Amino acid sequence: MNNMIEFRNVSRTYRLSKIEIVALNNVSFVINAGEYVALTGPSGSGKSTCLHILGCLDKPSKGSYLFENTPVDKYDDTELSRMRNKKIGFVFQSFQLLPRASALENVELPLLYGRIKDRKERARSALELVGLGERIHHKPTELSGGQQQRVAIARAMVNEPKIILADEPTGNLDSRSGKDIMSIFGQLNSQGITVILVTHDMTVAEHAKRVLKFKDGQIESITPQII
Amino acid sequence: MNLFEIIKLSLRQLKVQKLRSILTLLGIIFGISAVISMMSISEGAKREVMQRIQLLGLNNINIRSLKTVNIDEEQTQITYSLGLSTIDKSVLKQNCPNIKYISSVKEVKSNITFPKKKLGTRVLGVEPEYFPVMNLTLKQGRNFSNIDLENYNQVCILGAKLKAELFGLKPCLGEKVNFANRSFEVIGVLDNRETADTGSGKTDKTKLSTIQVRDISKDLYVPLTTLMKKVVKLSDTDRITEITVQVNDDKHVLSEVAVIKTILDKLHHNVEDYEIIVPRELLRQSQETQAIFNIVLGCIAGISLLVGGIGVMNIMLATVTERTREIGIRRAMGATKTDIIQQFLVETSVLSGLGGVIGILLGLIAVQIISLYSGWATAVSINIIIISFVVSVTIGIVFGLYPADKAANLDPVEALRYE
Repeated sequence: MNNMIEFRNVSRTYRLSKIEIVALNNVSFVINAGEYVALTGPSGSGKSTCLHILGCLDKPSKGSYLFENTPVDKYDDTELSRMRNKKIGFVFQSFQLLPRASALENVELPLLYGRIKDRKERARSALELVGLGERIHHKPTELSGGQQQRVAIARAMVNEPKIILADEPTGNLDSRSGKDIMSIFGQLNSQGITVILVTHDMTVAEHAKRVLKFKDGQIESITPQII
Repeated sequence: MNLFEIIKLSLRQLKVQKLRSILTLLGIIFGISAVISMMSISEGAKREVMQRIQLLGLNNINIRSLKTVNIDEEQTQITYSLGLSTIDKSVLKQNCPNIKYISSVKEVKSNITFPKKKLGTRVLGVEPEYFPVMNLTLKQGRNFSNIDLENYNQVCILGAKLKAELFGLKPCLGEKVNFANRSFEVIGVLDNRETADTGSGKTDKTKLSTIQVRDISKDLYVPLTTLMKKVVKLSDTDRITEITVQVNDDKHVLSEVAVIKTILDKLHHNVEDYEIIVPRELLRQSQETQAIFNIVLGCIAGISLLVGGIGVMNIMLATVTERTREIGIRRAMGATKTDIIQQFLVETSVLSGLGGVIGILLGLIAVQIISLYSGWATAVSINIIIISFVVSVTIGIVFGLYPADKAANLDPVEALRYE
């Protein structure tokens, strides 16, 4: 078995004053290493919550999340932080770059927290891979949206994670830049990195090899069932 | 992430908001500079007092004649006691085994003339042991001898500056100096040294005199007997100005004071027409006053630093809110809670440490200005500087703890969504 990720009856509920909101309701699925999966569904369907749990930013209220056959829902904060640092790369809709740091410094961030030595070189080569070798000293505000997202991707892959999680990565981009970004994801996936992206844009979801469709906190459909 | 990198990061963060950082630091800056300047002034005052007291001689005891302002009272006193006299000195010398040197002193103010020059100075009639008591040494010539005293010889010893004023660089031994219509042969010149004096011509009855530094190198010394008999024409029972005593060991100072007091009270029939000044005792008292002064200063400084610390905390709380997204990003990239706490603590301590440094510099400048305009003695000790810096950094850490903890415990998902 090549199970990279497994959700076993995962539920996530929030308490907003007196109302209990069920974001995920008893969700189970398996994602294998090297897959390219899209999580889709309308807003509020639970796909983002699912991504946050996958990314160890959030924990399930009920059920179990196994990463490489190890349950991580019992991990403490330090262990979860290490997971995020070593195994997972994040790409966000709004890029989430540090505004005052240069592209290079932004990419160095995961290496910094991973206590890795030759940070500058690794960050530089990651930026070169996404085609921004010339702009490493630019601040995010001096870059276009597409370029910012490429910096974010360089940052996500610089620590050689097993899995890249992308939350609406093309949501803030024009279609041309969006296409570029999607092709980078394609390349990363072809190198064996598991890519999971959240989107409500079906043209984006089409790049994925499997689509998990969420509705009201549950998985409505998985297409195709098995690859 | 090592400490150096975090410090670099913090400095950049502070540079981004220069004005705000400086404003935040004002509390600490003023607090620390107040500490530095107050401490330096108090340290300077302390050293000056110490110096004056030490110049008086820590093994010395001074017995000064006291005059009362009230004439009636003086009349009553005289019926019982004739005041401090050379007889007292002789009795003390015989009865106190721990006295090393003792000398009676009679002081008069007079004009002295040397062929063409005329100047007013203090003339002291002393005995040979006066110079060792006062730690004065002769540069040229000789001390008074017992023969000088017995024969009322008209000889004199000059203070160094007096010699310079009268004779310049010319030799003076054997020259004559005129004073009170008599001429005195110069037999010696003292080494130049500033020393302390317990004040002269006192008319009040305060137990402890204020201490003042007076330039005794301008004094003229003559044998006590010559002064008493030939110049002011007094007898042995007449008042002298002072008896100055040096005790052979500093352990005996206080016990000797008690002995002297007992003897003199008996001789003077308990009339308080003298006072005993003990430099060692003055030193202790000034140290006690200093300690109280320091506590008060410490409280003032403490309050301003507390206010400064609250300012830092306030601004750090605002910073945490402003940088919520940054914290979210860092957490998503693998920063642990400890990493975040570390970052914020280093930032606050760099901030407050910087305030400390600016405060120290400002304080040092203030000290210079104060001593320039007021003429107060100030002394900056390196300890105060180090302590001030450590205190300011500590304030940063203490008041940064809560904001840092708040930052670390932000929910990463919420933090990333924060606009």
